[in-house]
Parts: sequence; structure tokens; C-alpha cells
Amino acid sequence: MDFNRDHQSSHVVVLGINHTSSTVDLRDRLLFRDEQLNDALRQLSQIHGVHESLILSTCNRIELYVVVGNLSGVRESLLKFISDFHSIPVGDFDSHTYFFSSLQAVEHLYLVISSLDSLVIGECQILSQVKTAYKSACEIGTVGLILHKLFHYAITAGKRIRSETKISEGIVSIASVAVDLARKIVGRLDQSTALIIGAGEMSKLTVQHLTGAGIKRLYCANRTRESAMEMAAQFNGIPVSLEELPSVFNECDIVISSTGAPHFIVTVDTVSHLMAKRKNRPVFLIDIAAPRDIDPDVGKLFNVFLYSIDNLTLASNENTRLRQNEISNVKRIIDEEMSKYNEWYASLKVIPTLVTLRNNFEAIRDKELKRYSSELAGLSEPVKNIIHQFASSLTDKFLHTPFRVLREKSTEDDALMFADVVSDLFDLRKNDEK
Amino acid sequence: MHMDNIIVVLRILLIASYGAVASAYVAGFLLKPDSGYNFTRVVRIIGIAIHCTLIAAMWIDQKHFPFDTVFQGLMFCSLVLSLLFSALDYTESQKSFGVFLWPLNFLIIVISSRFLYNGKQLPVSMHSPYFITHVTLVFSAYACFLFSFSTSLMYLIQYNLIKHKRIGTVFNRLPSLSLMDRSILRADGVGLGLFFMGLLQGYLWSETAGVPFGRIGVKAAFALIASMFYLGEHILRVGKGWQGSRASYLSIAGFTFIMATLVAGRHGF
Repeated sequence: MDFNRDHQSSHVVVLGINHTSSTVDLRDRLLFRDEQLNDALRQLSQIHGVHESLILSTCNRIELYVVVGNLSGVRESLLKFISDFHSIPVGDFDSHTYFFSSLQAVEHLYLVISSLDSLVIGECQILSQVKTAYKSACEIGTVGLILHKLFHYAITAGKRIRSETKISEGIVSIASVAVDLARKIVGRLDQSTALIIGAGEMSKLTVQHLTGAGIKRLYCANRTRESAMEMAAQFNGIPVSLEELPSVFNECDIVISSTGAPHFIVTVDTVSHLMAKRKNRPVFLIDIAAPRDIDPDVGKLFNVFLYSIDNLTLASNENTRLRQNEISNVKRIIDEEMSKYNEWYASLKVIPTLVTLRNNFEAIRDKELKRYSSELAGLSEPVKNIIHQFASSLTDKFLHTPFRVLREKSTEDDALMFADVVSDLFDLRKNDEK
Repeated sequence: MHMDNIIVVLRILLIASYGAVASAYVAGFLLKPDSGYNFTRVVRIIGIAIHCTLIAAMWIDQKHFPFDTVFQGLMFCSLVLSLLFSALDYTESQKSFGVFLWPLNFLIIVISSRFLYNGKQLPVSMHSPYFITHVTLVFSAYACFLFSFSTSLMYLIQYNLIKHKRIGTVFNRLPSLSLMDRSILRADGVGLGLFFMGLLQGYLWSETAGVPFGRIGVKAAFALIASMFYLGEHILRVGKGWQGSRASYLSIAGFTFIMATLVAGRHGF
């Protein structure tokens, strides 16, 4: 590793946009797709003044992490890079970006990887996304000493947060709560059939999640066959009209209803017949309509699980509250891991001095051994070895205390002053020049 | 070291390891499911290895089939249960099954270890190979029924949580109703098959021992009643759609009679 003076004045910088600062359309335009990433990393690393670089590009955030020697003009350079790469004028996205440097940049990364900066606090994907971005940058070779250490500590923090806290437990979006419930009731969704009745926004969102989770078959029912066909086309489902419902009902393990009809369209009798035909296999009914589409008494039937939008909202709120309770634990872990990185970074200030000090002492040791080589020539090899070992051991002993003290001082504000004093004491700067 | 001492040490290690596994699963369920899971798995494997070693040591020491008492039979039942759980953990990776199963398994080991083997000669009537197959099949069946009993308890808890819309931490950590129902069905099905074969072996053993079938005693009567519950569960599942919670209740009822067979004392001959 190159412990030269450059690292002392290196700064970590992050420029990015995320779900709070920009729209999904803008993020889509600025997204670095998988096939573009390698090229982008190479171009980014070639910007003047950039020593190390990494790109984190997901559907909710696009961030450039770089290490520079000089902060002056960095933001403009990074904006120009994005603009040139995506052929988008800087003015189109400049005001939506955020820029952090040094400690703030480090803190931002920890907040990102802990999911505290995510759209849904506690989401699990971000950790693997960061790991993938780090791995890609390592493969291209744009990551150096500082980003290696920073991402190593950050990924460790991410893993600790997920294993030691409950921040990722429970589901918080209503549609995801519905899908999670479906999994708990009917089991494997890829072996289950769902039915959507009506075309409300929340029921469409739930169906989107179900199809994303791999539901085996989806029936789409609506007032008319034409509107059912339109809905089926959207979700790759099978259209049915309301009159045809009884013929498909017994196949369905999950039923989502949001017609908003003035009367119950699913009654106790309907479901009783359905359950008899299904031999009481569990069925999950979600009533999103107001007024209700499904008779609440249906929920009392054996192996029938009926949930309204209020029930799902309560569950979602409860899970959100549980996650919120974990934020203090998450922040504690972030503080612990960040301090480890900061300590390491601070030690960089004194490492060049330590290296030069050791080199100096070893040079003196070797010089003295050489001076006495003629006297030592008459001795046997084992004795010569002992003398060389003695010289090395003595050198290490002399260096032990200065090394220990300098390392301890490295985290303090006057660390550089101590390093300078040591340099002056041992005349290291003259020896460096030599 | 004398074999008796080795057996005592192995029993203590077995109780300690299974106790640690049971505590770890319960603590993991209450605190954080993924924490310490690899450690728990390692201790479980070590416990099973100790268990096998103990059974082998008992067999060597006694110079005959070592399960001539109910308590020693429970030792074998516990091993089968541990292996069943390991197979389920490998295929389904559902740690929450352990939170009910392992405390029961630990209890079985403690009870069976409470009554130490005393090195008696095996009675002549038990020298028959039918006795060996009868005991191994029946206690393997007991392991399956115990598994379905603990899973049925979990099922009823999860069923009521979902039915009453209490979907919090416990709901999140228990498996799906579908998985548990499938597991109960399989365990009861395998258990019933093993049990019937075991009962048949028992009948053949009673014949070779020269005991009229009419003197089978209370123990075997309870066993037959228990098997009717499990058989009934399967028939009602297929014929009447008695899935889920109804099947769980039948499974629990059947297990009650299984417990009765264990506490009913020795056979009538």
C-alpha cells in the first residue's frame, strides 16, 4: 500500500440524487445501467483530481462516491461528468442533487447502508446493492485504500444492523402486508391463484405486488367483459365478467375486491359453497372497497381469512412503529462503526512519519552493522546471526514507544503537530529528501 | 474409564447440548430469529453426535438391544425427532419449528435420563427380533406424532393470530399455515404407517412370546385408539376437507392417547 502524504489531505465526496430530491423520471434518465457501469467508472476515475471512484445506481438513488485531493471544483466536475455521460444538460438536474464531503459524506454512506435514508426504513435490498456497487468498482480497479476501508466498515455496519436490530422485521407498505399475509395463509404464491374484482388503485397495487411475487394465475373481473379484458391485459391475467365469477371462484386462493358496489357482492352463502368445493382449503379475501364488497360475517367461516383496508393499514402502521423504535439502536451501531473508520482515517496522518522513522532507524542499524563488519568477519555464522537479531530487536524496542504514542495521538486534533515534532526530533525531513 | 461412567458423562453432555439448543431456539424466536443461528446448528449437530454415541455405548455395555424400557425407548424417540427436525431445517430452513420442538425434545431427554439403566439381563421374551422392530417402529412413530403435535400447537397459534388480525412479531416469525398443515399431514402419515407396522410387529412378538392376543393390556388398547384418531384425521381430510385447525385438533387428541400409552405402564404380559 502506498502510504504517501497524499492520503493525509484526501477527501471523500458524494454527489447524488434520491427519491426525496428528484422524481422517478429524472432518476430514470440519470440511471447508470449495468451495461454502462464499467465505462462510467473508467471515465469517472479519469477526471482530473479523482483518485478513487465508485458508483451506486439503483431505482431510488444514483450516487457518485469519489476520493479527491482537493475539494475545489469537484462538484462541478462531477456534474459535468453526469451531464456528458447521459447527454443531459446540467441545468436539468443540478438543483436536485446533494453534495457531501469528508465526514458528512461518510455519515451519508452509513445512513444509506443502514436503510435510514431509504424510501422504506429497514428495507433489505440496499445492503446488497451497495455490496454489488463496491464489487464492480473493485473489479474495474477504481477503488483505492480509502474507499476500500470506508466500504468495508460500512458494509460491516449494514450487516450488524440487520442481525442485531429489528429494523428490517415486519412489512410496512399496505400492498406488501397483503402479499405477506397471502404467503402466510396460502403458502407458495407460485402455486396459487388470485382473483381481482374491480379496478381500484390499491387493489391494482396489491396485484402488482402479487404478480411481482410470482402468482401462478390471475383472474380479472369487472362489471363488463371489456373492462375486465383491459385490466387483464395490464396484469397478464385472464378476464372474467361478474356473471362468470362463480365458475372461477373455487379455484381462487386469494380474492381482492374493490368494486365499491352499494351491496355485498361476496356473501356468506357464496363463500360457504366455495369452501365446500375447495374442500376447505384456506382462502384469503381482501376487501378494499368502501362501502364493503364482502359481508364481514364471511370472516367467521372456517379457513376463511377476511381483511379490510383498515386491517392492513393497522398492520402496516404497527410494523412501521416497530421499525421506528429500532432507529436508536441502528444509530448506535452506525456511531460505533463510523468511529472505527474515523480512527483508521486519522491514523493516516501519522503513518508516513512512522514509516520514515522506521526506515531511518533501520538505515542507522544497517550502517553500524556494516561499519563493524570487518570485526564481525572472524565470527561464526550463528554468532553473526545472533548479533544481527540483537540489532533488529533493539531497533524494534526503541521504536515501540514512539509508535504507540503516535498512534494514540493520531485521533487527536494535534496529531499532525506530534508527527511534526517527531520529524524534527529525528530530522526525518532531511532524510526524506535524501 | 468404566463404561458406566462413560454413559453417565454422555448423558450429561447430551442434556447440556439439547438444553442449549432448546434455549437458543426460544431466545432466537423471542429476540431475533437470525442471531446465533449458525452456533445453534453446530451445537445441534454435536448434540446428535453425542446422542448416537450414547446409544452405541449403551448397546455395547448391555450387549443387547438397549431400549427395553419406556425411558430408554424415549431416548431413541428423541434421536429420531432430532433427525426429523434436521431434515426439515435442511429442506425448508424454518427455524421457528425449533421453538416448540426442541423444548419438548429436551424434556424427553431429561425424563429418559432420570431413570438410569441398571444393567439387568434382558428377559427371554424380549430376545425376539420382533421386539426390536416393534420398539424401533413404534418409537419412530412417536417421534413423528410428537413433531405433528408441536406443529399443530404452532398452527393453532398462527391460525388464531391471523383470524383475529393480530399480525405482529409472533405472526412474522411463525411459518405459513400452508407449510405447517403440510408438515402435520406428512408427519401423521409417516407416523401412522410406522405405528401400524410397529403394532403388527408387536402382535407377532406377542405370538412368539406365547401370549394370547386377548391379554394385550391397556397400553396396546390406548395405542389402537390413538391410531384411530390419526387414521380418522386422514379420512376426514380427504372426505370432509378437515384441513388446518380441525386436523390440528385431531392430531393433538391423537397425541394425548399416545401419551396415555406411555404412562399406562408395561404390557399386560
